[in-house]
Amino acid sequence: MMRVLLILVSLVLPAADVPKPRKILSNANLLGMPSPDGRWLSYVDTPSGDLAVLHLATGDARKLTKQPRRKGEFAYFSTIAPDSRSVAFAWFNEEGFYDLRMVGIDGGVPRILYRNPEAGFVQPCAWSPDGSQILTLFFRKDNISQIALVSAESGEVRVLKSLQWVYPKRMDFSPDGRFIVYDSFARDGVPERDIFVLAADGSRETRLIDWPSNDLFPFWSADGGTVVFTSDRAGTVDVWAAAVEDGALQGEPQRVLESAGRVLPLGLTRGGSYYFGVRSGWTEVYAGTFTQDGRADGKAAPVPATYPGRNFAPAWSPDGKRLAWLSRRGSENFGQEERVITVRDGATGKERELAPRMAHLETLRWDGDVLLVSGSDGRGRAGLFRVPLDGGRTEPVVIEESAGFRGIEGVAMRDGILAVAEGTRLVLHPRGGGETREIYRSQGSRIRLITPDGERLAFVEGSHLVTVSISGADRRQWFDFGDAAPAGLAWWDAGSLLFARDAKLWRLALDGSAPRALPFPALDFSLRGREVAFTLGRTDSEIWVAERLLP
Amino acid sequence: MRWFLLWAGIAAAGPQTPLGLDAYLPVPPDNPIAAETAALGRALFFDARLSRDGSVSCATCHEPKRAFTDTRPLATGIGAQVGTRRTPALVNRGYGRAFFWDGRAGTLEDQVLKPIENPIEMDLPLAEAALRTGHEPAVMAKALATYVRTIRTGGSRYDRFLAGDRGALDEREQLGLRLFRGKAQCASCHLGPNLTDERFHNTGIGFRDGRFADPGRASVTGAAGDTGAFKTPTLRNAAERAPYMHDGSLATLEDVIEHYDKGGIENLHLDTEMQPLQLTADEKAALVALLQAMTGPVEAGWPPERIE
Repeated sequence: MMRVLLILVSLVLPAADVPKPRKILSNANLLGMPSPDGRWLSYVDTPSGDLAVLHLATGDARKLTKQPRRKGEFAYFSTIAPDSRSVAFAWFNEEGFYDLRMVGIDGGVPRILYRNPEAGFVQPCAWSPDGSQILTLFFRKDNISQIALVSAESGEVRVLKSLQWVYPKRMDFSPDGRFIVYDSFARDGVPERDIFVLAADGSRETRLIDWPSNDLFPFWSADGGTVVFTSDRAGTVDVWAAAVEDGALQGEPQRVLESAGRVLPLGLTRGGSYYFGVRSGWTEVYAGTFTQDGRADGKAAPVPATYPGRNFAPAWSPDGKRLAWLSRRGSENFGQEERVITVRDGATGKERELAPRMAHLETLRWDGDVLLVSGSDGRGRAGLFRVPLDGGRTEPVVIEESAGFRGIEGVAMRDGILAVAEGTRLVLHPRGGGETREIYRSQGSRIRLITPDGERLAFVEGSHLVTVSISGADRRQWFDFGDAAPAGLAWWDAGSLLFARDAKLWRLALDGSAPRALPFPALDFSLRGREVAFTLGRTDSEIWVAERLLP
Repeated sequence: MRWFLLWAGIAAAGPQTPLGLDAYLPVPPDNPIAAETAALGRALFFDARLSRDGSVSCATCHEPKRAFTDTRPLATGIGAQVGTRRTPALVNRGYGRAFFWDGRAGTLEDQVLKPIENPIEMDLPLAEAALRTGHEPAVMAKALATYVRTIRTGGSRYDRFLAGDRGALDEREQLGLRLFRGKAQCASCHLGPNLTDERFHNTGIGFRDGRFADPGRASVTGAAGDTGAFKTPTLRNAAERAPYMHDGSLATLEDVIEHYDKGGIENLHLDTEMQPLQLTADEKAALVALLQAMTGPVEAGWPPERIE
């Protein structure tokens, strides 16, 4: 822990005259914001999923919602009103999408401001200075993001601008309420972002920051004269300040905080305190070997030769000659991060990086010599994609209308790709086209973590481990994972399965006995024979503050 | 430090935005929408003096009651000359980023005078047009562009559904919407408020006897890979706008669905997104039903007037 702290302190070096940032929270979630008066910090109480606020001076925490845990609902992004009396927040509801809700800072009964399944995901970002409007990002079911104003009184919506598949990572109001500042891709086909200023009445737009670098996470200062943003223009991710007047840039931006690291800015208070999250920790792909009876056959060793500490989600190729994994790149944003695929050739030890043109990569599987990747592409489609190793074109295999940006799970079978449909069905997509075939339909419970062997499928249905025959018949229910969902599943032999849970590998015999812990710890894994590749690591999210950031 | 004023938009005090469209309507800073400009644009739009023989106005092909297009497969100009492309609909072009089927104009101001000069459309030199109307070409361009910007449609049942009215689409139309975004993959090109990506795609339309009679986007870029690619049109009010595609070669929405279901027409530059869809008859019908639900009222002018 101490080592991590020291590393962080060295990463976050302030520019001259700026007080040194200090860490105020560890193990924090980064879904909330400081109140404009700097008294409160909103967040999600992770164990319960409730919205909560922390009084920054006293450290007193208070839940603002009270939701029975098992219902599966939870709070998400939130923003506190200018008068600190209300909090607008996203709430994942019982129907499986996000409402925009509002609750008093003292709690009470939350009010649903906006509920629309087509809006899909909502992210309240800021309040108008008069408290009448909530600047909200909609990420619609069709993967269109929209900058919208939602009336705090009536819930009436005014969509100002649609941004196709691109969503701003942050938006903020100018203190006079006339402008909205947001980030978006600089141009079609480039990953770098610029910062834009849109009139709150929709009457005009300017590109505030137009620079060949990644400029994002803008916040407006309380005096209206500065927009603070992060940028990698100097080679590291730093915090910069741009002077603005009437929505236009005045002079050159100045760096105000250097080397912020994997920073997730949260907000700028009226007093000039800049709150930001920092992701710390590491993940690494290891490989080890089991003996036939499940003991460790020697020590496991880290696999990647490149980008150590950034790797996870390993997947062996069917012939065992290659190992692929995901690797983090760049700075992170809320929820998603830049990821690439690394493929290691077992014979030569060479590692090759693939960066398919996808917006998000979630998991890897193999289909022969080709990778099957769940995630979403740059055209707003989510599902399962085929990524050839030769750098050829990434193509969708299955597109699911109901899939989120993480896509859907699928595995290669002899006759085609078996993929989860609408969360509750297993559907076989024959190779080369042809009629799809439903293999299995759950009675409402969601299906995940499919793994086939020659004759059977195993998967997690709801909280239970279930097996069925390859035709979908002969359903058997084996084990209840309860609240602790597994992170991987594989057949060990005909009579037992391996799964990862609580950072351990477990072997479960299909005879009703309790699972038995195996020697290698793992966050996730891929099994090939008795060789196992797995992810180890520890990650943390911290909240820091740079007081009086602006001169 | 460089910075650019991008676009001005419609002021808040302006007319209400049709449901489903963005409040921010991009407008060049030097041509803000004003009632007088829109009125002049409207007058010019209906003025047949802008054709050499006085027989054709913009509205001759862009009929307001047909979502500002017509029913002919190919545009027909003065002297009954037939062009090579279908008259594009003008609804919501203010939100566009590229104009003409091949995108050769980058702004409406660039686009609107071209048909006047085109010998097989209106065939009138701009100098002569200025003499006839008493307005310089630059003034006409701004006025016509402004009027076209005011041609908007939204408020369809599809828009109401997206806004949260769960009863706005029936069961079959909702199936169509799921297919539109999923299996049929229509939404990979037809997306956003205006149901277009404003990009160029080769779906094989126009490929006959081993060649494209019309090179499409390649005539602008010179890139072989753009051969046969044309701009994605909006799907708004598509039900009112038969026949379809850049050459008007598909008579009905059902024909269009069939075209995509079979994966387009194979050719060297066919968009790699084009794959056989394996749609069932019910699924095709559901898609057609959804397309019909994308029809909404059209308005034009400033302040807007509903086109009846």
